[in-house]
Amino acid sequence: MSAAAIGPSLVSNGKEDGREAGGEVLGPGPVKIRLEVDGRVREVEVEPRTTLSECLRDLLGLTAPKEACGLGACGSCSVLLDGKLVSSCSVLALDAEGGKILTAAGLGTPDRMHPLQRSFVENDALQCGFCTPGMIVAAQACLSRNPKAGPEEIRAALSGNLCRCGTYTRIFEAVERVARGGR
Amino acid sequence: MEERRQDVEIRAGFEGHDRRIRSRRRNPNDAPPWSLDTKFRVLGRKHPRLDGPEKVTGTALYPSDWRPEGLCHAVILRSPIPRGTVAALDTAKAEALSGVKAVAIATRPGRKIRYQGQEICAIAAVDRGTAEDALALVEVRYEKDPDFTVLPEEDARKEISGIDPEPRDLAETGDQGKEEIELTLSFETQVQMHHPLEAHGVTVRPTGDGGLEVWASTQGTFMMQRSLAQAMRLPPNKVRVRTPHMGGGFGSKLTAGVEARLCAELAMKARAPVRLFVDRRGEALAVGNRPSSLHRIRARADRKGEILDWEARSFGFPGFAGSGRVAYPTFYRGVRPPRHRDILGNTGAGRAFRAPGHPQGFFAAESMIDELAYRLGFDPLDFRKRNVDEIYAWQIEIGAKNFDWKGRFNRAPGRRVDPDGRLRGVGLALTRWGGLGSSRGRVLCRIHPDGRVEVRNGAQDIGTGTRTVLALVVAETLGIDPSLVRCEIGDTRDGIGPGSGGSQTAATLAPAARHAAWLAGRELLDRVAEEMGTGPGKVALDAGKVTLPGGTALSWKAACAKIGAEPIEAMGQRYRNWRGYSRGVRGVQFAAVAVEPGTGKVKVERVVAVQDCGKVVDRLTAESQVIGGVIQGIGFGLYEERVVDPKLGRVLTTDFETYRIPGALEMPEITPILLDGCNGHSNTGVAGIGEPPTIPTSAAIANAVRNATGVRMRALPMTPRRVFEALSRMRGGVQ
Repeated sequence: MSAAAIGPSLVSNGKEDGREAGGEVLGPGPVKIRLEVDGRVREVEVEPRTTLSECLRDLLGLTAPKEACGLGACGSCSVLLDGKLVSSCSVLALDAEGGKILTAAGLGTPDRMHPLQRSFVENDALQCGFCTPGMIVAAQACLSRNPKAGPEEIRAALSGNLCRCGTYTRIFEAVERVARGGR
Repeated sequence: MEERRQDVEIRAGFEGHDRRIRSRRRNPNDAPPWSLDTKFRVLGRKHPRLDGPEKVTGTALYPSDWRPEGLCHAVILRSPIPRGTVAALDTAKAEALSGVKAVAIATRPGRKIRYQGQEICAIAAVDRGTAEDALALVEVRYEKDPDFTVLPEEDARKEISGIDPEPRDLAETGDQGKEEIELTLSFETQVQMHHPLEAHGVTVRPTGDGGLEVWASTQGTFMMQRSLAQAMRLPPNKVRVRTPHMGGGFGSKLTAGVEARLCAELAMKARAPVRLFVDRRGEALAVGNRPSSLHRIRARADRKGEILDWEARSFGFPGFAGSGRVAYPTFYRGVRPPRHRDILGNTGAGRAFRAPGHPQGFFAAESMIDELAYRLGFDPLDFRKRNVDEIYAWQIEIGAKNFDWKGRFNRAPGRRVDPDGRLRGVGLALTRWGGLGSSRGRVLCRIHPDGRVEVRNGAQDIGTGTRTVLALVVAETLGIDPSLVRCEIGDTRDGIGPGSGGSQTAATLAPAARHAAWLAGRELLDRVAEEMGTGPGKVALDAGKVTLPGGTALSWKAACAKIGAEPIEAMGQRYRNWRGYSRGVRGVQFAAVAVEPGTGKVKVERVVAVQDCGKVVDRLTAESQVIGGVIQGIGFGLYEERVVDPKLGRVLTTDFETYRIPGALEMPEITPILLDGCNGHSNTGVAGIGEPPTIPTSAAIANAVRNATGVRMRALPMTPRRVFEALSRMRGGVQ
């Protein structure tokens, strides 16, 4: 990493908060942002270069989004940002300002699991479980687009999420079962 | 009570392939052994894993999730050169940067660099960004050594094949008229990376008493404890390792790596908790791999299907350290292990990787056996059956029937083009593994007065379902519903357990869990008998009920209510194995592939995996192990390959874009067929299943490609380019 990384960042978040006008220079130094995470409004101070996954994990203490590759290539850190599936390691926290974030923890709790989560457990669609919260978020994104998604659509929707233990076929079964309306 | 070794005789093996096993080594204090005659209520069925709800909701706390108060983040500076010396190292500017808490040196000036990615130093700071900024301020001067050996494969290839660097047929004698053929083929396999999704790493917190609390993404909590204590010159009981969950381990997380030792040093210097997890690039450079291999096999076989002679040489290339040894399927009559040599080079060190040496050696040997069959005019399935024992022959038949081998076998390889333009074929390969467990295990079982049962052991669950396995064994032993049992694992304050390597965890801990539950159950009966005023030996545990004299019975909860305020506590031992039915497990895999002749692209369409593992504890998680093994085998066979620049010695595949692990779109239909039995070597008869299912997959796929195209693939992975080139050579008349 070069010394330039310590310097200021040019931010363009494309949001209607006036910041992007003319590409205002932010940082170094913390900037306060507001996020709605799993239904709770959170205010947090971030360095402009902080990624959304660092913000969620290191600053807000979330454990559902994991970080595995840091390059948006594995899907472990997947969250829904304003309903859209993103790799949170590849989004700046600043760019999520004002956004609504949903993680696997927001879908359900161990005592009140979401149907997808219950189906993952019952089909053993996980082994080490590290990719699982990201897989579930990606599956949720797929089923919210098309609640009756077929096998091909489900495979395509999950193709950005890697599982090293090799549970894919079980994951397909788990998601297909929910899409078929079964449990 | 006088201790005396007792004879034990049980029926073990599989129904229809069973044997009575007698042994004089059983310890009389052990729980009575389960056998094929045991009527199981819990075991052998499908049970969702106990920690599933925590994992699917993201609430399971992984070592990389733990963020104690005041946590610092650390990063590692790695060598950009593959070989040379650190001439000078200055960390003063980095240490002066605001927010930096500690610096630890891994390679001091004057010390050698042996591979790209070698750890130079690590820096801990208030956040990751600051630590990375500080890294950029470290001044290192390297003296390059121009004579580094990056790819020793080239030299070995010359030695093995004379002039031609490409694998090829070296000799072939015999024709249709002769009774014997002799064939010499060479094979090679690539470097495969582990890439667990949770990186190698630890978070270390100094404790008030001068010790360390370590949350480690490890496959061996006790190994981590021992090696960190040694490195930090602490007594082992001052290091507490915790791994309640961990995000994948395939062999490379068995010991404490440099990153763990650096992190402990940083935490002690900073007097604060420090988190150090290797980044993905570091995972691709420095934390182990499955070494590449090269093989030349000369074999002679006859038209009766007998392998008359087998002579093999092999090389392994483990990088700067480690072992590249390979294993062959020597259970085939006539197949002998290779004469092996490891050649070191200046790349990251090899480490154990799911069935070390086996996928490499089985790819070579199973390809050779397959080719012998084709050249002799045999169906490769029949040829194998002639050269294995009756258990294998039985398993092959089971798989062949499910897979429809006879219906799918391509009798005109390379000439039968399907309507979609693809060439289709099928192949098979066998597997073998040990995994009967060691005597390194102590499991605690507590029966609480409210009827809840607690099981504890200090070993880890790497995703195989250890937590669930222990709970189910206890539930079965006590005859109670598994929902009453809670299992806590992954804390070195609890009883000792093995490292999760060699498919040993379940086979080691299940017998200790059974022993603990059995002891606790006996204590429960004693207390109930005392409480009810009946004589000892008059009460019994049956299907979760305590039966009393006179035909009455107490429910489990009612019985537990009579034990008093204190829970019953028993520590189970793992006694030594006695001679079982088999010294390991067997399996056979069938693969169906479709090959696009215009591109060389291979798609696996179906895999049937027959596997035994002694007594099946949880059919659901055991099947998951088989599926996972097959999928990693597909990765090894078709996609995964570490590429190193031969001039610069730099790894070019340092992320998931350039190093392809199998994804959702590559998945075939996978059918696991678990053969439930009893291995008869311990009180549970459970054998390991983690490694065996990944061994034969790449060979079965290569054999299917041969059946589809007529071309024998000699090198892994079978990328479109390699397959296309092989097809082109065949079309050109040169193979």
